[in-house]
Amino acid sequence: MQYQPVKYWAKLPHPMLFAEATSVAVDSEDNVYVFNRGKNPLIIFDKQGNFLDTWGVGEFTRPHGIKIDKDDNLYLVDDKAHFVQKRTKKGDLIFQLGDKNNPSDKQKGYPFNQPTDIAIHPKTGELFITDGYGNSRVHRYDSDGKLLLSWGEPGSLPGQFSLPHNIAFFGDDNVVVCDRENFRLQYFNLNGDFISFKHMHRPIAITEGLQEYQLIVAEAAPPPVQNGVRNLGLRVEILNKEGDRITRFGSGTLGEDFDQFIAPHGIAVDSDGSIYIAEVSYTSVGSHKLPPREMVSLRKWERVN
Amino acid sequence: MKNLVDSTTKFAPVDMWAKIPMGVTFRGDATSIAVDSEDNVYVFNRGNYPIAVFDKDGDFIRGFGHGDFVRPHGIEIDLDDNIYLVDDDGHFIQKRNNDGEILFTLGEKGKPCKWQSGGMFNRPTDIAIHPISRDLFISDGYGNSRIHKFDSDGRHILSWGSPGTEPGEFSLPHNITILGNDKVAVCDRENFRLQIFSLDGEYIKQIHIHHPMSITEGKKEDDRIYVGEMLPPPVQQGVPNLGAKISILNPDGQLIKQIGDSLPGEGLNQFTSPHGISTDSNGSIYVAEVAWTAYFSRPENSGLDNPPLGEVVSLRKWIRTS
Repeated sequence: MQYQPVKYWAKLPHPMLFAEATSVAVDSEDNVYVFNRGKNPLIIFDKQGNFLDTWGVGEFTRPHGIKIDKDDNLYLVDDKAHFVQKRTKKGDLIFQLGDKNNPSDKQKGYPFNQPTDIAIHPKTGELFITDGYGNSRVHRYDSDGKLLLSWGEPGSLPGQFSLPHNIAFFGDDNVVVCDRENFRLQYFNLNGDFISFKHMHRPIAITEGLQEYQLIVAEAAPPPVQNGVRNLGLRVEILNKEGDRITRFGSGTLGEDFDQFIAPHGIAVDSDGSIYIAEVSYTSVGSHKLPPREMVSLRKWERVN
Repeated sequence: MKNLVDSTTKFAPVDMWAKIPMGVTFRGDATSIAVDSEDNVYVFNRGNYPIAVFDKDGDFIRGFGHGDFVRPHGIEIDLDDNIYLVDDDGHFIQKRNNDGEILFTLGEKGKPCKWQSGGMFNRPTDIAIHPISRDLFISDGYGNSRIHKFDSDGRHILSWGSPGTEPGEFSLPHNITILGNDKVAVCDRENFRLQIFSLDGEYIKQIHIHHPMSITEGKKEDDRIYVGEMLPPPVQQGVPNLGAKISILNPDGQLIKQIGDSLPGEGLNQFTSPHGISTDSNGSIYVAEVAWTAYFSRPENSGLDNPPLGEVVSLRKWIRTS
C-alpha cells in the first residue's frame, strides 16, 4: 500500500482562509468537513476539493476536533470553549455537552477542561471524549449525551495519561487513545479497562482505517530541543490489528513541500482510502515567523495502489 | 549488600547530606555523579570546582578541574577508580586518573563535528565503561544521534545510530550504562524509551518509559536498573505524576518501584531534573540534577520574573530503610 500527496486539493473561495485547519471529517458521500480557526470555522468541500458550504461564524472559541457519525451528524470539540456539540450536517444544534467557556477544575477529572476529540461508537452511537489539555481523562456518554463513566488520571503508568489528544475505535469493543505526551497509544475496552499500549513518537491524531482494526495515526514533531533533526515524527502511519506498520508516508521533515508536514493534528479517511490531514501549522510555526503568516494546514494523500 | 530492590523496598531521602565548604558552589547544576570503589562520591558540576568529591557521609574531600571545562555534563568511574568526564559544549571526553591527571582526551575541546553527521563529537552526553574489557561507550548527544565504542586506550572501534524513531535510531541519546557484561542500555530521551543493544550495537529491544534522562545499573550483584525521569514538556507543566521521579526496573525492564513526589520541587522528597544517577555498595541512590538550567531558571518555576543565579538543590541522596 503506497500513498502520494494530492497537490492543491482544497479550492477556497477568495478571501476565505483556514488560519489553520485543526481537524477534518468525511461524510457518507465523501464530502470533507474542515474545522478550522479562520473566520469561517466549518468549511465543506466535495472530494475533488471544490467548495460546497460554510457555517459557524462566531460560534466557537477555539476549534479542535471534529467527527461524523454514520448518519452524517457532526460532533464538534472546542477546547477553549470546553464544550462538545452534536449538530446536523447543516449546522443545526442537536445537543451540547459542557458549558461554553466554563471549564471544570483543572485535572480533577470532571467534564470538561479543554477537551480534544471524540469517537462515536458505530453501532450504539455512544460517545467517547478525550479530555484533554486540562484533564487526563476519557468520558463515555450514551447517544443522548448522558454521562456513563469516566476513566484516567495524570501519569505515565498504564491507564494514566499525559495529554489524551485523540481517540478512535479499535473494532467494536475497544478504543485507542493517543496518549500524546507519553509517546504511546493506549488500548482500552469500552469500560475503560486497560488492555495494552503501543510505543509511538508523539501520536497526535488517529482514525479508523477502512478495514476493521486498522488504524491511521499521525505523529507530531519532536520537542524544540530536537528541532530540525530528521525522521522524528511528522509522518502518518497505518497500523494493522497487531499494531505493526503496514505503510507510512511523509518525508519526516518539517515544511510546506507536498511530502512534508508541519503540525499534523487531525486525520480522516474517505471511502477510497484517501487520507486527509489537518495541521495546526499557524500555532506551531506560522505564528512564530516574522511577520506571522498562514502556512499549509490541510493535506490530502491518495492511494497509488 | 542488602537484598535486591523489590516492590516492598523502602527508601528515604537524606536531608542536607552534602556539606559544602564556604565558597564552593555547584551553581545549581550538579549535572552528574559517580561513586568509586570506596563509596566516595564525585559530582561533576557547573560551579567553581567542576569535580567535587565527598565521602559517603557527605563530607567534602577535595575539588579540582577549575577552568578545565566548558559545560560539565556526564561523569563515570571505572573499577580502577579512573574518572571519565563528558563535556557537552566542550565536545570532548576526558579520562583522568584518580588524582585528576589527564590520561587522554577524545575529541577536540570546542571543536564539534558537523551537526547530526554521525562523526565525533557534537555535544556528547555520557559514557559507560565495560567492567571487564574497559571498552568505552559514549552517547552523542545533543548534536548527534550516535553511540561510539572505543577500546580502553581510546581507539575508536565502531559507532551506531542515526536520527529517528525506529529501533536503533535515536532522538537525543542522553545517558548510557552497561547491563551485566554483555549489553548496553541507552536513554533515548526524546523517544521516551530505553534501547538495549549488544556490545556491537545490535538492537535487542526497547523499554517504554517517561522521558528517561539518566540511567545506571546497580553496583556489583545489584542488577536493578535505576532511571531518572525528566519532567514532561511545557504543555503538561504542573500535571502530577509525570517524570521528576526515579524508576527502578528489574533486568527485564519491568517497573518495580518509583521514588519521588508526584510533583517537582525543592522539597526533600522531590526532584526537578534527575540528570545523573549512581548508586553505592549499600544500595544508596545518588541523583545529580540540572536544577537551575532545567527548572529554576524559568520564571514560572522560581516565581520570580528575573530569577537570580543562585544555589538551588541539585544533589540528592536516598538511602534504603528496608
